[in-house]
Amino acid sequence: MVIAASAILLLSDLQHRGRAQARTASHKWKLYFVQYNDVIDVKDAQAGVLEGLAESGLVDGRDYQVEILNAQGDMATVSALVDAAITAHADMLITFSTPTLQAALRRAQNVPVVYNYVSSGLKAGAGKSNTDHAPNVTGVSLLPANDEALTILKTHFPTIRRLGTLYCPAETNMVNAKIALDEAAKRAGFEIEYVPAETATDVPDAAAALMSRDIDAVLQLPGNLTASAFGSIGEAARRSHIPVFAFQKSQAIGGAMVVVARDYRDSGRHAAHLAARIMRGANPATIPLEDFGKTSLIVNLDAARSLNIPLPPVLVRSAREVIGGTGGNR
Amino acid sequence: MTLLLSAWTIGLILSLLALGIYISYRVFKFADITADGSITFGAAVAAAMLTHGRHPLAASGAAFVAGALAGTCTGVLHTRFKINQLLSGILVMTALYSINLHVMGQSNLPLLSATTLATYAQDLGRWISGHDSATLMGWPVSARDLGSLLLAAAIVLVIAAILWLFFNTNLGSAMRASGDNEQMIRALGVSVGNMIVIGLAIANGLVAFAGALLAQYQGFADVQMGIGMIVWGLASVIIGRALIGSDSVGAALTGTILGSVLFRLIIALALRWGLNPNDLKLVTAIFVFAALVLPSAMQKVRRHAAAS
Repeated sequence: MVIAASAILLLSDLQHRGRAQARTASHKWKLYFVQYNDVIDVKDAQAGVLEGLAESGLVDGRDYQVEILNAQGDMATVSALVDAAITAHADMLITFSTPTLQAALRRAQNVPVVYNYVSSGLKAGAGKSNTDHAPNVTGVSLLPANDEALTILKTHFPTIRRLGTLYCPAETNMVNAKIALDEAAKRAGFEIEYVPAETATDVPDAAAALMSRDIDAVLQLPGNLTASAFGSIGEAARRSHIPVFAFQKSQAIGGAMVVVARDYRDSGRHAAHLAARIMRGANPATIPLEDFGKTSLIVNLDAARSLNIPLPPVLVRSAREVIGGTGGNR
Repeated sequence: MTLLLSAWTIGLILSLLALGIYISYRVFKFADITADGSITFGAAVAAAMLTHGRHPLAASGAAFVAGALAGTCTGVLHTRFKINQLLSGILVMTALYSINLHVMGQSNLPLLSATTLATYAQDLGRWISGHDSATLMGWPVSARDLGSLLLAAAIVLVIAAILWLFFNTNLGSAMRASGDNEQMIRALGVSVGNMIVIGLAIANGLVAFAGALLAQYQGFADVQMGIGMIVWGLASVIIGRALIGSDSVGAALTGTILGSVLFRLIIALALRWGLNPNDLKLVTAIFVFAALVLPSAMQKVRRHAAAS
């Protein structure tokens, strides 16, 4: 049975036997999206990449075709995803998450790799610096807009000094975001309380514990776990009359009062622009790794009203999107 | 061909996990959930040592010792504190989650710039093929893939041979007897508790060693890499038994290794055929079901044909 499975696998690859891979700037590119898990943020990032490809003037079916591979959270399958893409003669891998980037770095050294949905490409091993990196790799790292969020807090909500957030110690992106938030909070003179949560079922209790720690506001770090269980965090904060500030657009709709969004959808869009440059002939070695820096401010008037917190008009005017209120979405 | 080599390599690496689970589950009838934590423990210890410049063999050996310690803890919890088998494993696995985070200092450690066994595997592949790439039955393969497969196969063969020899020693026979007939072995003056502790130490040592090899092969260790591993390990052991159909030690070890390889081949096939990612696990389960029932179904058909 093992021999039969091996033979079937080889036969599936028969058309590639002895054939050299030829890649030109004008042919239809086979793009492989390599994902570790299937969570809300990955879907956001994926939607961003597809939007970015369209924005770059590339047409699905004419200029490229997309295949999506997902390990469904099984780490031992991550390498197999990359190998499956290589065996199918992928022209480019677009990775979503740190483990898939690392597997691509190890296993796909002759195929262009564009990463996104990663908090730090450098920490994941993509290079020594943004310009000195693996020659086939480029991409976009994303850390939350900590400085911008803390500036808004300091300017418009001067009574808020103690902040709290849930985080998942197992999520690399969240851990890196926590380290960055720690540094930014120290610079800006804020205190931060962290409560760990490992699974979605931990979140309601962890959120309740966080609200009991005498915090002035929640500043929720972005992450898989907290994104999917944000309802529990918002509910616990609402019960304790604590305002929620966050970094993901979806959380403004979910009840956060102010969101300084630098999210995976936007960074995915930007990663697609880098991919489009490679598809038009650019060498990934010459494209520096990037730290995504664009932010957009979203305020939720309904959330503010439910807490009896007046949002400063100047803050509302500077928002790119206003949720709730008499005017509805803007 | 790359996917085939990779499926075989990961299958062989994870066969060490399956061999560990074979010892706890088949030899001792002990449902040891520690494996989910000890595979990551092995990866974490090896990765932490490798990033500090330690030799890959020392790092992999330390991973085995770390896993053995974890297994010892589970065994002691069960035999000395009389805690239920499953709960002992759950307690150690849960504790290992935090320990793994401490060992790595973060949730993910890249090994791309460290010298690992994968580096030696690449050198081995280059030495055999004479280049960075080679041709195998007409397919181009990289020296690293070829070397990794050969190295993994050599390691698994050596470990399987050691286990086979061990289970034929007095101590090994006593261990097997402890699982088969506890009362009889106790009457012969053997401490069943000690046998369970030693057995779980060896089992989790192997599981952790598999974690160390997997981290070096994939180029990173991640605190989430153990999730669900116990299930795949158990599946490999059971598939292996269905494949071989014999209970002798040699056959069981061979079957377990082949079961693990078959399992990874099935996943590789599902990926190669471009199935909807959401269906990956469903399709894997169906394939495994087919692998389990097909041999006996074919046997029945043959018997029926011979009778008529």
